[in-house]
Amino acid sequence: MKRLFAAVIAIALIVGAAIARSVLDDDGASSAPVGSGGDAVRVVCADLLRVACAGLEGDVEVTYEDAAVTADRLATATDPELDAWVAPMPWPAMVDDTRARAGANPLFSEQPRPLARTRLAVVGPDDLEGCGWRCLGDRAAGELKLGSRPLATSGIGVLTLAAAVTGWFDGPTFATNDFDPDFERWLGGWSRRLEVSPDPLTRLLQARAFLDAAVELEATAEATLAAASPDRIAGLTLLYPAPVATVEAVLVSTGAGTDDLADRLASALEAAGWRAPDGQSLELPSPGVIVALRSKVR
Amino acid sequence: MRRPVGVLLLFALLVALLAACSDDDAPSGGAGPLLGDPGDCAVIDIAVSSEKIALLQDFAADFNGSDRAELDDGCVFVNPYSKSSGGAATQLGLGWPDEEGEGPRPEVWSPAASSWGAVVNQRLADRGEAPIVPDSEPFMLTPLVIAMPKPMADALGYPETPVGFADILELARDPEGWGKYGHPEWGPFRLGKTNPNFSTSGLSALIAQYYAAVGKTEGLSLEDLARPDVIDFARGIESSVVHYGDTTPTFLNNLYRNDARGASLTYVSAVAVEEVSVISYNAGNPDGVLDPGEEPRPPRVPLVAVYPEEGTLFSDNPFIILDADWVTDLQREGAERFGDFIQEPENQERVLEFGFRPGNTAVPIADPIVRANGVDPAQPTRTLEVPAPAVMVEALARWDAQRKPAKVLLLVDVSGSMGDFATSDGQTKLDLAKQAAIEALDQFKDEDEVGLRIFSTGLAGTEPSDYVDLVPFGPIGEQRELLASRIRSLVPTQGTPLYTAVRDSYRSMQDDYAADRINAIVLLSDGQNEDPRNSDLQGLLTELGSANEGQASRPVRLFAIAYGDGADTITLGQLAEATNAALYNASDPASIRRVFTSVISNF
Repeated sequence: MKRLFAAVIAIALIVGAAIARSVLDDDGASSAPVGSGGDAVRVVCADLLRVACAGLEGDVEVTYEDAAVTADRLATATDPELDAWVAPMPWPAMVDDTRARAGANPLFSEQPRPLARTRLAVVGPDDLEGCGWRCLGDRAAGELKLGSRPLATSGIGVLTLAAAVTGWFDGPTFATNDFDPDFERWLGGWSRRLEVSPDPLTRLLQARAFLDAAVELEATAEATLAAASPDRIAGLTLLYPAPVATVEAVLVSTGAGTDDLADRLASALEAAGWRAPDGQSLELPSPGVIVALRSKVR
Repeated sequence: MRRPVGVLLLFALLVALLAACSDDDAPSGGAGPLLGDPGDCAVIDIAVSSEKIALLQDFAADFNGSDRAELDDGCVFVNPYSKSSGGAATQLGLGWPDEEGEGPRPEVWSPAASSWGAVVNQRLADRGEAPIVPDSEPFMLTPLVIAMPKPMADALGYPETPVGFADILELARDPEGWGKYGHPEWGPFRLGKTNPNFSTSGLSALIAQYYAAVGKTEGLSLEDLARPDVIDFARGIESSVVHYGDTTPTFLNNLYRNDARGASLTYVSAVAVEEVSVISYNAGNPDGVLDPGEEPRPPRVPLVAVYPEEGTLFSDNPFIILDADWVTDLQREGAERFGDFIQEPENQERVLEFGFRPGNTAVPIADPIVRANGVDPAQPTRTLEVPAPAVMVEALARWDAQRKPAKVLLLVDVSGSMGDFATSDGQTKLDLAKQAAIEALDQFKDEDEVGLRIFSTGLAGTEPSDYVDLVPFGPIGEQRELLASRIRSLVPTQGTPLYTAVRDSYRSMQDDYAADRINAIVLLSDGQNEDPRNSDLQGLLTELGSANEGQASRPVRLFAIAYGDGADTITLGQLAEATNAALYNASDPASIRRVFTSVISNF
């Protein structure tokens, strides 16, 4: 009987503590960060980084959209209508590059704050092992059904494009005047035959008839494969085509009130399988070259 | 870039050809008060393609009233109702103007294939309006297959020997028929496929058929369709068609009935259906719907799903929360909850139980999608690319010309009860039927031969006195106006000599059987046999049934429309089933236009 009484008391204490914590939390929410406009901080979050921003909801005003959509809007905007943008590199640099060419002021005067990194991966059959980006392009121009998000209009798609072309030139130090007929043929060959999907990895796992392989962020791919039933992933391998492309999530600000967001975003990404930034080069072409590539496949 | 290979992206132009289509591959039902009273909860109407309505209503029954349906701003109540994908696409493209006739304007839409969403957005764009259908994830999938009775698939050597549409053409054209494979007793090769203007399966089959003809899996072009060998191929396939129709269950129900009599191999050799239909059929539930008191009983001869060698298409069943101004925040949040609910692994297990492939990849593709049920989880290995819009339009236009021609007798009951009022503005049942029949005449192609016979007791002064041929058979292209004029002038008269009219019409169709056409009678009746001179139903059924069997059969299908609440639905159904056709229920006279459209889709 005493034991039962003790248990009831213990439960009451726990419930009481939870209620007290809830009240404190509620109070905390009332002192949410304030943006440069005097209202709640407005964060635009790239769709592919949703896992990072979900934890901010309630504290700040979060809007999700594809990085490419945000970039296109910001490229000509006079008022960015955001206080912070959570996006993969080099999208912020591409925005300011485009603005500079149009004679507009840069939006992001401060250096982007790196949050986390992951690699660009391909999930495909074992026989793709050792096939680099150039090889993948060759194969995708033929029988290989390679799934990707849209190359020109999605955040990951543009990174896929940049990675693949870096493979063709065997490194990131090339310019648009290196685009010769051989390159044009190669690029056109696979980009036109790409199987476009908003979620190519899920599509691959839903039916192999749809796709042979799919491009995905390493962190996302690992989580998806881990959750999939064994029959769905049989014969598939997580591959890192050479030269290995790294995707870095960053926080860029245009206003105040975003100082404490970076740590929370980084923690959320780490929990989702991303790695801490290490300062190494991303081995991506220059922003101007990526903008040019994007218009080529648009 | 390739367009995503899904199912039939460019229905837009197809749908534009249809004012009202039934689509999908199970009979459409209604919203029905199956889910109870929503009380004070916000109702979320969900338009669902007919083949999955039972599943979605199951989910709704679990969701409504649960904690998941309780939101901060109130509770929600989801209401899935059956609506064909084509019909919903048409309505959404117009802003859903007719809730009374078309069902409630939905907040969520789940068509058979996600490509229907592109159709709606395209239509809205054409009118300068914003898109309302966002990209949405499929929650279950099922591929198009060629379903064959197992002995026939075995005779072709499937699965060891791949089978495609090309093999079917070869069989369809071969005068030896199944004799080529050592089974002359099975007669000629008979193909069942639905009308691509109405059915997702039918359109998928048409695309697959054209790809097979040109030996491609992508890039079907206008030039391809115009090739003489491709035209020849298409005509060859169509020539083997038993009849068309708007839904696949018509074929499967007929096959199942024949199977019960040990005659399943003589009705149809292959039917283009979704994989899920093969599973349902083999489980003894051919139309996927268990009526009250019905027990699933496996057929004697199971079906085998043949995955066409050339590739196939998927129905991917998206869950679409519409970006429309009539969707409130509460409804949107509630819909998201329900969308998450149906993606939960335990509910995806139920998707699997219904024979669909789960969209959630955490759930394995397992029983009942196993070889023992006639399907193969490792198939298909190829999908086909959705053709470009202009190619789709051309393919459909060519199908209209290449499909098997028909010889159809319109047999119309003009007994006195057809003069009963059917609407509040004084229109009679006959008035409504006449309008519907005249409109349906446009669905026939010019070379179809159509005749018009009316029946009622004492109609003519001389024998036979119970029916009169108002328009003799002739190409409808030459007598469409005449038929319309005669139909327009019909008036209600006396009793209903149903058996005599059917018997004599059937005999005359047999006598003048056209082997290169679909031979059929479309019977419209609102009553029951009232002729004391002929009450031998059993004798009539025997006569109708016997003429449809055997290698030298001369099948004449009798498609019956039970019109109004006084129609003898049971007898009409028996008459239709005896000829391996179908009964169409128009007990609500207001539905007669839709029903006529469905019936004529068989030709």
